[in-house]
Amino acid sequence: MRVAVASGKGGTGKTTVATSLALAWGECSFLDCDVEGPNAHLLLHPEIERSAEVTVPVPRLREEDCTYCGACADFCRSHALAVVPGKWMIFDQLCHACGGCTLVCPTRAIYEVDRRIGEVRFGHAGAIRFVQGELDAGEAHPIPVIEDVLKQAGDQGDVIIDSPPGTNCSMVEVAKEADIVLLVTEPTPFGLHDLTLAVEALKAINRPAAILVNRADWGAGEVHQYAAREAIPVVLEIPHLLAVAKGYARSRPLIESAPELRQHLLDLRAALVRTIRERAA
Amino acid sequence: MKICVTASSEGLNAPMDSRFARAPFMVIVDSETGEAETTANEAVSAGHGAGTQAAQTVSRLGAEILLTAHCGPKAFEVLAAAKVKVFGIGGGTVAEAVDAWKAGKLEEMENSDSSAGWAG
Amino acid sequence: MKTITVISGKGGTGKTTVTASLATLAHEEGRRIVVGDTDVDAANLALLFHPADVPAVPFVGGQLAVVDPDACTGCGLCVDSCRYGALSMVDGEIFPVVEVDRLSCEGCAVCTLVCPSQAFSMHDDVTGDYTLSSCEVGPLAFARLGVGGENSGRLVTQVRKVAADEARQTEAEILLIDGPPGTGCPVISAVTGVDLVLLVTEPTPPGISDLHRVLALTKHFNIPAAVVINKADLNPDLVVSLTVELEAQGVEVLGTIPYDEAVPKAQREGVVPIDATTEVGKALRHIYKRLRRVLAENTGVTGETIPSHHQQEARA
Repeated sequence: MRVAVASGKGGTGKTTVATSLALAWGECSFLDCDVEGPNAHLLLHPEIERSAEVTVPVPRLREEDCTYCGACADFCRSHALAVVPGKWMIFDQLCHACGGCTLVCPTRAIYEVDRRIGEVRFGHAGAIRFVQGELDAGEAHPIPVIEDVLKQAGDQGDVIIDSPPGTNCSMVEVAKEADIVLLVTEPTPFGLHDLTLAVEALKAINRPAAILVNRADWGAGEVHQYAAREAIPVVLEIPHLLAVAKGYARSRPLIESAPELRQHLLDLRAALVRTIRERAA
Repeated sequence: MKICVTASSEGLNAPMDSRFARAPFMVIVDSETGEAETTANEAVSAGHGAGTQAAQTVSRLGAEILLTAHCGPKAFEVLAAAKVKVFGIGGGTVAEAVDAWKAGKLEEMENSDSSAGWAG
Repeated sequence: MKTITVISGKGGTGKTTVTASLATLAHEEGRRIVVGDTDVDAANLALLFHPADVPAVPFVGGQLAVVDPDACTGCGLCVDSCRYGALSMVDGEIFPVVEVDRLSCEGCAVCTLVCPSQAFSMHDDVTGDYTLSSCEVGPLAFARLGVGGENSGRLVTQVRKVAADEARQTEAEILLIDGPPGTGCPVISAVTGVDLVLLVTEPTPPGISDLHRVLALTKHFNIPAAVVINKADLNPDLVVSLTVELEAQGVEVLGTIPYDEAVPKAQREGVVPIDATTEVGKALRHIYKRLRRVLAENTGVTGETIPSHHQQEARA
C-alpha cells in the first residue's frame, strides 16, 4: 500500500506522523518528497549509502549553425532564451526543459545537455528503506526531483511518502502516486481552512483520503463535522503532547516520546486499507 | 540614434516608469528628430523572464540607449550582449529623461542595480 | 515606505500569526500600513483580518494546450513529445484521440509544433484569483491559487503589485507581506526588492535547517534579514546556539516568543495574541519595537516620531 502523508497547512505534524508510521510499521519504504526542505532524516536518522543526481535537459547552441533568427526565443514560453544580433543566450534557471527550442530551430542549431538541479539519496534506517530528494538551492522547479524519488517506490511492501506541504502541483504530483492520502490537520482555523483546500485538490485527481487530527484536544468538533460532510474518515486523533513537541525539537520521533501511541499507529494501517477498499467498492 | 525610455503611459510627456521589465510602455525617441513612438511592453505579464523578454524588445526596436531606473541582472546581461547602454534615471517625463541624457547628466549603469525578481 | 516580507522556510512556525500581530501593532500606533498575503497556496490572513467582501479578479497564470477533437487523427505523435506526461490517448467515437491532463500541462506549446494536423491551440488558463480589500488595519491584498496550480510565483507577484500600488496611493509607511512557505520560486517572488526579510523560525532541527535554506536565499539576493524565534521553550539550548550563530553572521534576532497555547486560542477567537498581559503579547510588542529600530537603521530614515522641541522640554 502506498500512503502519501500530506497536509494543506505546514507545521501540522505531517513529517512527525509519517516518520513514526514508518517506525511503527517496521519493514517499509519511506520516500521524502518534501524536496525544497526534506526533514524526515532528522527524525529517522538513516544511514545514507549512495546518491544520484537529478538532471533536466537544457539547450545549448552549435554556433556555426545559428543564424540568430530568434525563432527559439520567440517560441520559449519561459523566456529563458534571448537572441540579439550575433548572440544567443540561455538562462538555465528559467528553462522548463520542454525541448521546444530544439524543434523550432530552422537550422537544428540547438541541442540539449543535462543540467543538475538536485539529488536523490538512498539509505536505510533500521528496517526502513529510505529515499530522500532534495532540490538544489536557487532552483525553481521541484517536480523533476519529486518524480525521481517517486520512481523509487517499487512494488514490494508498504510505501510511506512524505509529501510537500500545501495544495499545489507538487503535492498533487505525489498524491497521484498514492493509493490513499493521509491528511494531517490540526483543529485551528488555519488548519481547517487549509484542510478544505487539500481535500479539493484531491477531489480533482480522485484519490481516497483519510484524516488524522493532531493536537485534537484543542477541539476537533469542526474537523469531524467537515469530515462527515465530505465522507472522509477520521482515522486517528492525537492529543497535543508537550513531550512530543519537545522531543521533535531534539530530533526524537513521536513514537519514542509517546510510546503509548505505537498501537494506534499500527491500527491506523488497517483503517487505511479498509478505507481504500470501501472507496473502490 | 534611438533612445528607449520606460514609461507608464504613451508619448513624450508620459511619466517615466522606473522598473525596466515591468514598465507598461517603452517610448522610442529619435535623438535627432525628437520623434517618439510608443510600444506596449509585453513582458509586463510574463512570469519569470520578464527581463529577458523586455531586453530583447529593446534590441529589436533598434534602440542603442536605454533610460530606466532599475534593471535586473538577466535583463542587464541581454542588454549588454545587444550592446545597449543603460543609463539610470527614475523621475520626470520621457522628454525630460532624454534631455538629461543629451546634456550628459546621467551615469551609465555598469551592472544591474537590483536583484532578480520583481521589485516594487 | 518600507516593505517587509515575513517568511519561515518551514511551515507552521508562526509566520502568519507574527505578520498579523506586527500589522495590528503598527496600526495601533497610528501608522498607515498595507498588508499583502502572498501565501497564495493557503491564504490565511483573511481568517484573522476579516476583509470586506470584494469580488475576486481572475488571474491568468499561464496557458493550457487544448486539442480540437475534430482535427485530431489519433496519430499519437504528440504523446511522447510532451515531457510532462500531460497527453494520453483515450477512446474517441471512431478511433483513439488525445486528451490533455489539465493538471500536468505546463503550457510549453511543444504539442503545437509536433502535431501534423494542427489540432492543438494554446488558451489562457485562469489559475487563481486575487482581491484587494480592506480590513481592520488597512488595505489587504490576497489571492487564491486554484487547485493543483503551479507557477504560483506569478500570482505572488500580482499580489505584491496590487499591494504596492495601493501602498503608493494611500501613502502608506509600511507594506507588510505575509510570505509563502518553502524556498522555491514563490518565496523568491515574495522577497526580491524588499527592504527587510523577517524570518520566523522555531528552535527545532527541521526549523533551523529550513532557516538556513531561506537565509542562503536572502544572502543570494542581497536583502537584509532579521529573525524571530518562535516557540522558544521547546529547546532553550537551541535558541541560544542559534542566536549566537546568527549574530555572528550579522543577522539580528529581534526577539523570541514562548510556546504558549494562548496562540492557537487567540486564532480560534479570530484575534492576534498581542495582549500585553501575556508573555506572548509582551514578546510580540518587544519585537515590533526592535523591528522599527532595525528598519530605521537599515534605511537611514527614522521610523520613530521624533518629539517636537516643546514636547521634549515638557518632559524634562
